[in-house]
Amino acid sequence: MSEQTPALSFVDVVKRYGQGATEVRALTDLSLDVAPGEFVAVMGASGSGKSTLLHLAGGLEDPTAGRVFIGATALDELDATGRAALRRRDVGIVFQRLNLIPTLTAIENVMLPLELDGVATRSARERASEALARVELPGPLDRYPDDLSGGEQQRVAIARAIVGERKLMLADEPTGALDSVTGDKVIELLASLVTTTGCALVLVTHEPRYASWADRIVRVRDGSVVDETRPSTIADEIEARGQ
Amino acid sequence: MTVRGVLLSLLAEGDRHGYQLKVDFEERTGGLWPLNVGQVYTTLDRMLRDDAVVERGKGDADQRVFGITETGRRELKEWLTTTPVDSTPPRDEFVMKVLLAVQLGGKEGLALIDLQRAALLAELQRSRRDGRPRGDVAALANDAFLGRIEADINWLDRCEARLNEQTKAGKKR
Repeated sequence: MSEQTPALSFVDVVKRYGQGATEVRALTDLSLDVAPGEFVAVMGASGSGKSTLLHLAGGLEDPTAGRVFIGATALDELDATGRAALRRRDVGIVFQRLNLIPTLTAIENVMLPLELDGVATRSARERASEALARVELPGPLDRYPDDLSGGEQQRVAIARAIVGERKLMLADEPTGALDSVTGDKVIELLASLVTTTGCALVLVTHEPRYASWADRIVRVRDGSVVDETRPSTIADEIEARGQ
Repeated sequence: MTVRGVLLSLLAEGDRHGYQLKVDFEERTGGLWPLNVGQVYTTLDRMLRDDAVVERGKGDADQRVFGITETGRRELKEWLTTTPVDSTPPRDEFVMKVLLAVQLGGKEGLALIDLQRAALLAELQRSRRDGRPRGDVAALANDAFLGRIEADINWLDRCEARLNEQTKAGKKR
């Protein structure tokens, strides 16, 4: 591995919900590094802890123990305001659904994090329009989410997640509400953005077809990483086994 | 049966000689199925015997030219309209290994499932890196291949869930 600071780092992270008899261990001692510009897919059965991993990475929840770093910043050293700023500037998040604010147009949705961050409207509009061009949203940019197809809504959500040079994109089953052809296009777009922007991407998915786009596939079982699939090493393994 | 069916469908479009059939067969099947000319002639000879095709004489370069008969057309229609569904579960090596892994149970069983899954995922990744084959037919043929790998991976997830239930219920053998 390279010497550079990872875009995302989990160090011995534990996450428990509830206490005593009702305690649920979502993550048990999970460690994971994602390099800048790396596309990592996280797979695992439902309840394996893969969505928890993403929530912790986005600073939406706190670990019970261990530390999460975004770049060189430890999330536990930030207060709520600091984390909100981090999410506006450095980390973009795309969920399965309900990504967009229904009363704002496509371009206004993308401008939002910039404006909240104090960027002037005109400049925010320019950058948002660039981001929307990158995700190839067809048609006018002033349409409301209701007027967009599911695939188009995810494109807008992705544009919002990459606007303003983010270092890390987190996507939780972003194809879950889409048909497979549209889903393929969304993942292809995410993969190409990793290449063109140098942003790291963590994609949580249970679909092998989408995971196969990743540089590395990580499997979470019972709250920890059980095996990591890197194409080169696994290919060697297969070769070695093939007598 | 597949080679015979595809050859009949080509002959239904027009007479062809053996080498032409080989070339058209490979194109029609999206490059998935390389065929040697000997195999084409063996199949043609069997179809001649069954009156599914007739020899129409010699082509320009003295090759034997074949055409389809009424019997051949009936056979083609029957072949095209029959859906080949395996009525018994597949008895392939992959399925057997994983069934053994589930019965082995515990960490070893899981490790075997992980190994199979990793290999299948690597195959998907490799195919992704190679890019979609050019041409619609070849791309669709590739999709069929990838779809089966995905189905196998999903089946592994089911096997893993079963193995976990077993382990939790303490029924491990």
